[in-house]
Amino acid sequence: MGLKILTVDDSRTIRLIVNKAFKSFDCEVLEAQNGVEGLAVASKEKPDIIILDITMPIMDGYETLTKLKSDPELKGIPVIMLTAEAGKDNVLRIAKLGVRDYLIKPFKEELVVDRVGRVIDLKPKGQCAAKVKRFDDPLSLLIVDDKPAIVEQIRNGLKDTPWVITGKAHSGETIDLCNQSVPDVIVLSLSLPENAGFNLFQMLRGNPKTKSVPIFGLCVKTAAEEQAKAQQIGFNTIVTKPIDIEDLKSKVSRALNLDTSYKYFQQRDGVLLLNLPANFGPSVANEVTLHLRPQFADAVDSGLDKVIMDVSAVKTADISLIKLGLEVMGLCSELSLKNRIIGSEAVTRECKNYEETKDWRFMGSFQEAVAALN
Amino acid sequence: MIDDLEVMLKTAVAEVFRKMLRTEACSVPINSGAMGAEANIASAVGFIGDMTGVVYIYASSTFANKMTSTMLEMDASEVQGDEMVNDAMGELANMIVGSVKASLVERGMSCVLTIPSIVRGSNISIEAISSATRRVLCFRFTDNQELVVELMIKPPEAKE
Repeated sequence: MGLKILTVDDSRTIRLIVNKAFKSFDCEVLEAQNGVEGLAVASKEKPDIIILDITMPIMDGYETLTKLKSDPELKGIPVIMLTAEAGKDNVLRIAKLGVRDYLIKPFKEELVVDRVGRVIDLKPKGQCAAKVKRFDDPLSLLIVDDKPAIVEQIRNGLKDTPWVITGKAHSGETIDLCNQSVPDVIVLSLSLPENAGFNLFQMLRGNPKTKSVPIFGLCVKTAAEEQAKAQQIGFNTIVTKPIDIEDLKSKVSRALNLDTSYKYFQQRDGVLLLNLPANFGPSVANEVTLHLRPQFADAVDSGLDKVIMDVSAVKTADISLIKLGLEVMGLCSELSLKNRIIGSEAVTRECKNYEETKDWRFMGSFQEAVAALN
Repeated sequence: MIDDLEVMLKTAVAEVFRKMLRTEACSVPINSGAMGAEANIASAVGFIGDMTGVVYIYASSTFANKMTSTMLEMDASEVQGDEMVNDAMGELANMIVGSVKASLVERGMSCVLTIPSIVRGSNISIEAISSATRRVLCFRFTDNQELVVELMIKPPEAKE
């Protein structure tokens, strides 16, 4: 369930501005025009935070706050006061009443979000739905690097995906962009001048809009010190140059928990077909492994009892393939599923040479495998 | 003191417009055409305490609509009815005078604000009683839109 923010202000303008400030977050903004209404809404809805104006008709902010703090059910709700009346005496009076923070009008929308974000855990809208995002969704990747060639290299490398790649060279323009539209993933160069990459990371983590966005550090393979520092302060992962695009795709998939299963699994002709691509390697193997159990369970649940693993596009039976194959065989045995493998002659021959794989039953084509299973 | 208040007002208008409307307010000499025949909106907030007075902000209907839509990041056509514009103009006056109040309080002066009130009409003019001290300021924005800010204070010696 999303968070609830209650804005109590006699000015519709302010209530609209507060509403708008939080529209990109997973929260509901409730409104009240004065203290009496505010207390009623607070009792009924139990908001996670209240943004309370001071000067209001019927019941002002001071009285409202006093009543809130004397109600055992409401006293725990954090309150941020919003007032046009700055000045030490006012601020001291507010502080004594036990408010969490205060804001002086005029204020920028970002400031309200920032202050509220320090008290409650704001999450950008749609983040909860990120689990169902697919690899072939138009994800947005922001690359922060002062070398345009790097941005271009990533853009070219990912042009087989529908992902939108944006490049920025400086911290200021990165922050501006993130305030307008939050990217799905940020790849941040660790070698920007004057430690800017690390400073920018802290700013992004301090901003409620970007605090949950996966941030990857980007640096050369040999920059061990930078990598260690990045991992220590909380970068989600490190991407090293020269950039391995398949590795980057895999890291994005993992960071966003993307559904990539459709790339490898399909149910066809009463069989669960696991199709390994030509670029099969450790990254793809990890990705497939993550989907194995849920996909097998789903197949069994749908009434399927046969599995075909198609490795015909894979050139060699390396350790990744063997490990994955053993895992598939183990699951088949556990769930009593019949299975066959489709493989090239070379891979079939290699597998016959290993103790662990010599009993795998290879077929030449899908039809042949289906016929054997029936 | 009126000079100090004028400086406080100019600073307050600049700050409010920068933060709420993302625009710079350029102080210009007042001219007779600043308030044209078009329907105008005046928003007033009074202050009472060691110094007592009132601040009016005037704008044309068109400019008031534009300020409202900018504040709320809406399209001008989405601003529905006078109520929304009245509220926004009242809030702008409240923020401007609230900022002046903060400066007065920092100088150790007591000050309480009134709630905003709105006057609408064409060819309206505000007249002060003869004992009041008055300053009229004008601010110009892009598109040559103007905002007139009028300050009237009751002289300290006349305070009861």
